[in-house]
Amino acid sequence: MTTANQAATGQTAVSTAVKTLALNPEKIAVTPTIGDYHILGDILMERCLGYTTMPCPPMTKRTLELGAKNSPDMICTPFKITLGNQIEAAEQGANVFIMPGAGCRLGFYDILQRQVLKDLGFKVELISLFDYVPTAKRLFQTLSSINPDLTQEHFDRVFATVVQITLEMDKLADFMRRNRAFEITKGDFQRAYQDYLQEVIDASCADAAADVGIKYDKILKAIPLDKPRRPIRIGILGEIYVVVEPFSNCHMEDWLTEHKVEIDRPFDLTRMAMAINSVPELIEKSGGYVDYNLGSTANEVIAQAHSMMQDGIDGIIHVKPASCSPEITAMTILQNMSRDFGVPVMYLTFDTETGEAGVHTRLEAFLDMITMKRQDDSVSEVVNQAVAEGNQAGINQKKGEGY
Amino acid sequence: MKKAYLGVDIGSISTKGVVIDEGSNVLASSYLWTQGNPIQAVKNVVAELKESLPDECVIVNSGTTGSARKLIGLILGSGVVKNEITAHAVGTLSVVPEASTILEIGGQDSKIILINNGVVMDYAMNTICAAGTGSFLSSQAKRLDLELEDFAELALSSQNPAKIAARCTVFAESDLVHKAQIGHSKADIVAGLCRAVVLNYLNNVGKGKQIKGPVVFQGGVSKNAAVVKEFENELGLPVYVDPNGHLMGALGVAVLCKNAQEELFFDFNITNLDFETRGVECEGCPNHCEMICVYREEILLDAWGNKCDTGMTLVSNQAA
Repeated sequence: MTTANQAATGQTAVSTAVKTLALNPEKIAVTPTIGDYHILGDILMERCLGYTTMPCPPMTKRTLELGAKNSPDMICTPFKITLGNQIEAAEQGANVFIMPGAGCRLGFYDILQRQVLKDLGFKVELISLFDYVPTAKRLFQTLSSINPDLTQEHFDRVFATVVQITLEMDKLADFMRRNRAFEITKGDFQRAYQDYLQEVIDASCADAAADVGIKYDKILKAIPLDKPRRPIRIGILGEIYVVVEPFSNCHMEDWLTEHKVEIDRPFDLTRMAMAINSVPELIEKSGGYVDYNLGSTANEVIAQAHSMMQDGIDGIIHVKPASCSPEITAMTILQNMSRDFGVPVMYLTFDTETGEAGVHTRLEAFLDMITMKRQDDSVSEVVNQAVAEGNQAGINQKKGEGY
Repeated sequence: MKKAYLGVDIGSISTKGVVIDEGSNVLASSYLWTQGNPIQAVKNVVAELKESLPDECVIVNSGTTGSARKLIGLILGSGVVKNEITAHAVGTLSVVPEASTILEIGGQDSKIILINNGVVMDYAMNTICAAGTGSFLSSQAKRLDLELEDFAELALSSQNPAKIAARCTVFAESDLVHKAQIGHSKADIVAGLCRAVVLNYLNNVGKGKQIKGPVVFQGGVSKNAAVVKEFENELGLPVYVDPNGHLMGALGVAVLCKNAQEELFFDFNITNLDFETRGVECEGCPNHCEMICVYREEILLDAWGNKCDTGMTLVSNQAA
């Protein structure tokens, strides 16, 4: 990845297959952290606008504090976190930020963030990528209005690369989530995936990106595993930011992985992009539980939950930031599905608190519960043994009057 | 020698200890206030248990649950450290095997556990709200200058409970002040509060869950007869409160210990040892993890709160 320092010394990582732009050292662009997707923003900035890019400073407690302090209290959590990212990056010299500018309230983050950053005295440029219309055409309009020299042909090639990388990234990450808990050498998957990210960012065109993807697909699939025939399988669904960004969900996936759980998390950027333009199909896939557009990606959540439950998943964890209205709507529908299919669903709401203990308590209890259910479809050994011995010992003599 | 198993439940308000034998019979139990000092509370509980435990019994494994389970698990050298939900389900089912729903309201949190054929099917726990928990009731009792023990009796005497907003502690409190100022009697207000706790619980924790009988109610608030009555009214079902309801978490973890088939040395001497915890902020990176280091007689036992290995290295170097 090209950083501000590298740009200053004249080194750029952009390959030659697409006509490279000389990077402007005056413009230092940062994509706020959301999983590993910032590499996509970096590619757009470097190759379409010729901006230097800088990695977002790592998320810490300070990021949250800064974000929360300068945000309206009732706004959704991703706003606070991304604002914290922007402030910390601005302190380190960044002066361009990109935000998607589409979706639910997420679509309006940039307007408010622009104002907050200005009030704080930062002279920064905030680019709203989609400017409220999530299409490739609109993205080209946005970028070409900033860089009038950007041709449609050049944009198309960069965009195709970005799309290719997104597809490959999501495919590899999905495979990793399903198998990471069972790797024999701890850290194999993470190492290989990080190597992939390092390598793919330099892919000069869509074909080159696809080659890197194929290479790492083989590497990931060759990692030795010790996977039981039917491992405990837990689905994760909900609001995209909290699902995708580990810092915002108390590193839930790491915890589940350590406890030997196969994670079924189909929600990623690929699915999100598809979901926005395919609400009618999603409604069809919801098994009659919903017949209208719920807003944002809530229809996708319902459709995914339905297919997971039909597929015999052990349990589903639904996550959302505090006050996320599309997901609140989805929750009530999930409750009905949970009752009908007999699949437990746990609901977690995240805000700027950093206490992991509460989340881990709930995860442990959830996992205990589905493990007990699994032990013998309807009978749990642990409990039944306890019950049998409890009866035998007669320590429950005192009860009875109550009923 | 008779094998025995110790279960300790260290909650925010009270600390409970139970010793059972191999038949799950309770040999000794203890129930004391935590008073913000879980280590001292556990020492007191262990000392009390030792007093009442028959001489021939030897504790071969111990387990902890409750919010201080990790800390106390380390101090006791426990083989089982379990979350409250699992512990309560196992404990309750060992006493009331036919239970379908467990309602629980503790000092700091509340939960609901749904059971089908002795297996936990679903549960929920309050997330970010303290309304409808024991600490809310006790702070309001203080505001009204009442002893918690008199609370239920007064509430039950009310003929016309005041309507108190149940949505949120802050609203409930201002509503309560308002009702008092316009002249509602203390009994009516207290009865209204008990009702508010029940409604809040059912709306927040129990929402969307099908509550079926037999219903067991436990946790500190289950000792409040007025709350029990409100639950019965709202649910239209009899609500069973076990006299040992407060011990279910400790009992559950003791049962889990017994089932663990692992034997670990347990030393009653911990009551005489000096344990200390120190909070350290790791300066290794901007994350500034708040770490807790636990020392026994000045020797570092363990530390946690760090998100990476940097903190651990730092702490052990300091200790060395």
